Amino acid sequence: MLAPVIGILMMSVLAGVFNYQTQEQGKLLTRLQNVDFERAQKLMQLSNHMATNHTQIYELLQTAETVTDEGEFYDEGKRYLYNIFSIETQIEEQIEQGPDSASLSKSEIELFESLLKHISDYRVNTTNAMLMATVDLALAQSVMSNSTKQFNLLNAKFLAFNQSIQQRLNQRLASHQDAVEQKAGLFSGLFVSTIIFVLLLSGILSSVLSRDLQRVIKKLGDLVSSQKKQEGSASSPVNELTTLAIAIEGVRESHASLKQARDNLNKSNQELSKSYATILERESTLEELNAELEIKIVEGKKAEELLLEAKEDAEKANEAKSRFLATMSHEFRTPLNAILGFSEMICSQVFGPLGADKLGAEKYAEYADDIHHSGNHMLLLVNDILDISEIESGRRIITKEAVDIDEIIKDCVRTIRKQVEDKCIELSVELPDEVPFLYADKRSFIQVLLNLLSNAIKFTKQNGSIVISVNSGKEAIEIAVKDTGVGIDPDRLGRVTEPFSQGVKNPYEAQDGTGLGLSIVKSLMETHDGELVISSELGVGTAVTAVFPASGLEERPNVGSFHTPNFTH
Amino acid sequence: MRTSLWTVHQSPICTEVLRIIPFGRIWSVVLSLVILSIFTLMTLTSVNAQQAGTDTPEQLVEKMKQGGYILYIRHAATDHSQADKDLTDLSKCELQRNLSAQGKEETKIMAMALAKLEIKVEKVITSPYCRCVDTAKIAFDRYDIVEDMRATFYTNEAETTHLGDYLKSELTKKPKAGFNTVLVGHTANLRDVTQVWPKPEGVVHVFKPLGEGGYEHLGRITPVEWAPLAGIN
Repeated sequence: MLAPVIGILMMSVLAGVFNYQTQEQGKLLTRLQNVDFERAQKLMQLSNHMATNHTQIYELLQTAETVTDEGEFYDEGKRYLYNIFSIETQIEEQIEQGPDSASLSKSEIELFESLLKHISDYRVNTTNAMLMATVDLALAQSVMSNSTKQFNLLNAKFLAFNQSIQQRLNQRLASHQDAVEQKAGLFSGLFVSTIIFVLLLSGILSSVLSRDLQRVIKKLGDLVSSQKKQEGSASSPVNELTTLAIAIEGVRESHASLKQARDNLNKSNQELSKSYATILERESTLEELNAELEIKIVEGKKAEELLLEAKEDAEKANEAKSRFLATMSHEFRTPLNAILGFSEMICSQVFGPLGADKLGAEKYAEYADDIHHSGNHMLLLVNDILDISEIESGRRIITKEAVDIDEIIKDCVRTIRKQVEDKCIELSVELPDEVPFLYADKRSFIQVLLNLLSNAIKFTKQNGSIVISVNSGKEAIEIAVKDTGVGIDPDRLGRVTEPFSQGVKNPYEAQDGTGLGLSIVKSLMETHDGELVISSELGVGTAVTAVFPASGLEERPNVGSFHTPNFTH
Repeated sequence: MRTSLWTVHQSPICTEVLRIIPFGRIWSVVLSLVILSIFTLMTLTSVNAQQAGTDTPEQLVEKMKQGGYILYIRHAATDHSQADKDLTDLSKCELQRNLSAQGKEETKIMAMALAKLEIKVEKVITSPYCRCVDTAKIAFDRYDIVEDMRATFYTNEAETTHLGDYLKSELTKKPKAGFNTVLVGHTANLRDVTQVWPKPEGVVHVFKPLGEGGYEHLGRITPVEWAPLAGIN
């Protein structure tokens, strides 16, 4: 049984060795052939270069008679001479190439060297011809014809070289093929002898092995019978087969006990894994409980935070309300004082009996006017406060509808016309080509616009200008009122929409108005989901923009400009 | 008294502000500056332009009298029936093309003219070729043979560059005050380095050495011009 295996192994080894050898040799051959082939190619190339160069030199010499710039003639010629130098260098490289068996034979090296010598002679000759060309062309041409003869010789040498390389290529190939054939024969011989060897080997081995096997069985039998003698059992005739049977029986017994022990081990293993599973379960339950607890804690904290925030907000709102009330009362006090004061003066007839003389009449008329003015002021205050509280508590009725911006602006402009004229302020309106409809409460919009305009007028001096502009975009519609007034102090800019704060606290400026205008406007914008944008520069002007969300209503083209008659001043 | 205006403007929604680049003014200034700088650059580099050399022989003589110039003299006229046969040992004049009688005569006249015009020469450097050595001997009676002055006819690229470098360095060296340097050489070397082809045989090309900056080709004096220049014969 073993023998054929060994045989196959040996044969495969042999085959492998043979294969490897053949491959290696094949590679070597290819390498050598390549080197020679490339060398032959290179030489062909160089001889071609030589030929081209020679032709160019010849052509150059033809021009020698009519040459005007000798320098250029020299430059060109020098180039061709450099080419020949380069060819010589490349041939030298070919000689140095190829170690070991790719190297050239002695005769080939000699051939190369003589080739080089000829090229060098050719070069010198050609140089001389070129040097003479511009001086004595005839002489130069005869020198050149010598060069040409040398050139032809060179060509022949190149050719000879190529042929010798070709020969070597063919020879090498032939000898390689012979070698391969030889090897093949050798291998087949080896193959046959291996088979014979293997057969012999198997015969020898089988006999050797059976002898050993018998020896082993005998030993085993002695062992078992000695055991049996100790146990005191009847000794039966011991022969090989019985001994073997007894031995087998013993093995079977021990095998059974082993099996038992293994089963026990398995059982205890199972129990262990069960208890382990229970432990894992308990652990996961504990983890879940833990996680739930944590979530509860976080939620509790959040609720606490929210409560605190709400408390703070309530406190702040309360504060704001108290402040509002205080300021409001203060605002009422001022006109009330004026009413009381002036009416007292009339009562006590400070300027003499009523209707008595001119001075008294003037003064009393003045006081009456002041009282009336203060009363009006208080009425405005009350109205505005009512407005604010209505808006903020949501009791103001807002009906949103499509509002024609154009019309409203015209109306407002009409309303404030007199005030603008009195102050000689230039008012202009900028509308886009297509004015969209605004979706808002009409009354609120009018209120906003009038408020912004009255502020602009109030704070703009004589001969200033005010611009109302409307800008509509995808997201929003902006209505802006820009003036060239006194502007708002940057410190106060943030607080200007708070109740009772007016931009510039200058007692000499007219203080008409309640100070609630902008806060009303702001609240109104908030109810429309819009915003109020204020920008200002002291001494330059202010721009207040009411930004409404886009209405999405169809745009109606502007009906064209309209002029109201000019009012001369 | 002012009039209040009540016009409703119809402004377009977006008014763009176009910045028109003043193409006329700024760009023309820039362009002219650029052209000017290119021109200046070209003029500066053309200082070394080899084909210039437009000084007259009289001007050259005046300059040489002051000293500080390089005289590149092509060997004198040779006998063209002779040929350079073997150049391995340049001391063997019989294997080279040598000066003709005319060449020797012209060199003598040049020598006399140089002496009469009081053009002083500090040193004479010559190529080892016999025709160059002879020219130097007849003209100055002293010379230093420098191998690197040999002709670049038969040399390969590497050697040609090497000899070219030597000549270039010689052309930039300033002689001592009041004196000039003489280089006796061949056509090819001067052509390789300066693009000047010295012609005819025996011609003198005058260069101004500029030290690190290089050199400047001023002009040439041909053999027949010496006699009238110096007032001889």
